[in-house]
Amino acid sequence: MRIGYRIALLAVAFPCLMLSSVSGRADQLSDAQSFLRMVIDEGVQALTPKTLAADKRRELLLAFLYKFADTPNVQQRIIGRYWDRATAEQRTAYLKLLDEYVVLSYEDDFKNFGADEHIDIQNAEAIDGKIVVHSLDIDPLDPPPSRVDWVLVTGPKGFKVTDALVDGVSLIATLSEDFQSILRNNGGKIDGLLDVMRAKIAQLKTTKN
Amino acid sequence: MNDPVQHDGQTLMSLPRQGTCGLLAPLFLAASLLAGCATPPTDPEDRKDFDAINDPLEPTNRFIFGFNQTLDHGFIRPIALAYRGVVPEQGRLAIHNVVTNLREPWIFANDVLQGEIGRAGDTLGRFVINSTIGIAGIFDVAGSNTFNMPYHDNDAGITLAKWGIGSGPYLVLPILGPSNPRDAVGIGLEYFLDPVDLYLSHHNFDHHHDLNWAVWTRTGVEALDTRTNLLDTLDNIERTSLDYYSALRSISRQRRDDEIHYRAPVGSGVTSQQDAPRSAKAPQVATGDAK
Repeated sequence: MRIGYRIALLAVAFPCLMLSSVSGRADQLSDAQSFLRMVIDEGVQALTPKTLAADKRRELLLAFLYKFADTPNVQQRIIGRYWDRATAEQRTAYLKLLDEYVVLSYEDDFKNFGADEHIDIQNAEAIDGKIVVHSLDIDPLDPPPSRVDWVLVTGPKGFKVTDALVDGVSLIATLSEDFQSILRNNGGKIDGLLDVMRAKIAQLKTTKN
Repeated sequence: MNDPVQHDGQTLMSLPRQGTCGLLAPLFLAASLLAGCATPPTDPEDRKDFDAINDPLEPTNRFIFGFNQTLDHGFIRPIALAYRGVVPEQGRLAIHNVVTNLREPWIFANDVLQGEIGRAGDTLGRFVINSTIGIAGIFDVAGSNTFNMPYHDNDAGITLAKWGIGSGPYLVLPILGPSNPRDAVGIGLEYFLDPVDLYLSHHNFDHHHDLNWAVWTRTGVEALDTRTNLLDTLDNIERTSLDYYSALRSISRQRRDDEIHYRAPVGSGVTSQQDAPRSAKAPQVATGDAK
């Protein structure tokens, strides 16, 4: 009798739980799409005006990245296991140089964002505990559209962008292979990477002036 | 935002094949003799990285990469810049459409070999429509809204991948750039079997002159078109990367993987290999440390 009662309870509860779970996941995916819409709108509005001074664009871009990107995790993933080998001073120097490097490398992508270019957000799906929001970067003057897949993680303060894949190419995987190659070729020494980063930043500044 | 790697279905891996292979063999051999294989590290973590990167020929590859860079900066890139500067955009688009149209028979063959009959039909339709209504391929009429048959690329390397053959280690080919043994075999197959080149090199219209010059011209124009389309992309990667070789290795592999597996949603307007729903191939999501 007691067993029969439990089975009956489960028979009722299980579909309810399943429906609730599916509904919760759908809500989360919908929230992720809304979050990304907000990020893109804010990014386009704040960072793409052609009249923006270079220094101001860099300052805004850095603030934008810290606000919406999964910053500490991404910064560590770029140098992978070498993060654990770095001293506190080396980590501080690396993070400062990385900020400067990223801003100098990507500011032109925002500066050159086309007047009629727009990001069309499509579906979202959960993959490996993360949420991937698919979108198309459509520029009528530069067809065909590029696929941009945004990988989001959920943290205590809501969603954060942890990677972006353009036509299947991951930004973080590419940076990671680039940076870790320098580390391997310098015998795993963080100072070797820092020297190369300083030289690259100086070069990027020179080419922009 | 600019697409970092792809332009209208052309990628780093889609450089022309015809005519150049005969030149490449001695260059590759010379490079192999001058350089060599990387020594696998003894440290377990370093060894794990070494295996994951799968570039045991790195010293040789870097040597060839350096050769390619010298050739590109001194010769190929300046020509591409001049071409872009002199020929108006509409003219370059027409030339691009013609060389793309000439690839369709080879794409058709690979569609069939992969059992993609629907796509093969589209490719055949594109070739017929663009060769006739499109005036020898100058206009991509088939890709317009009227016919709605967008271009998709395909090659023997993808066919071999679909047949389950692994890529093997990373390889930098002289002139052609980033590749792997499977794709190198694919390039070789195309060299011998591309229907348009077979037709041109074996057809003697007036019984006095062969048309090998047309094969070489096609090769040159296709190379110029591809390099021109990649000018901004490669310049940007070279300008911002700490180690251009590694950045290009990572990007070309990811692109190739995407070309093999990605399935574009129907009617999305996205150029891709496949035409099935997006969820059929989700993007690779890093689950932890990248290495």
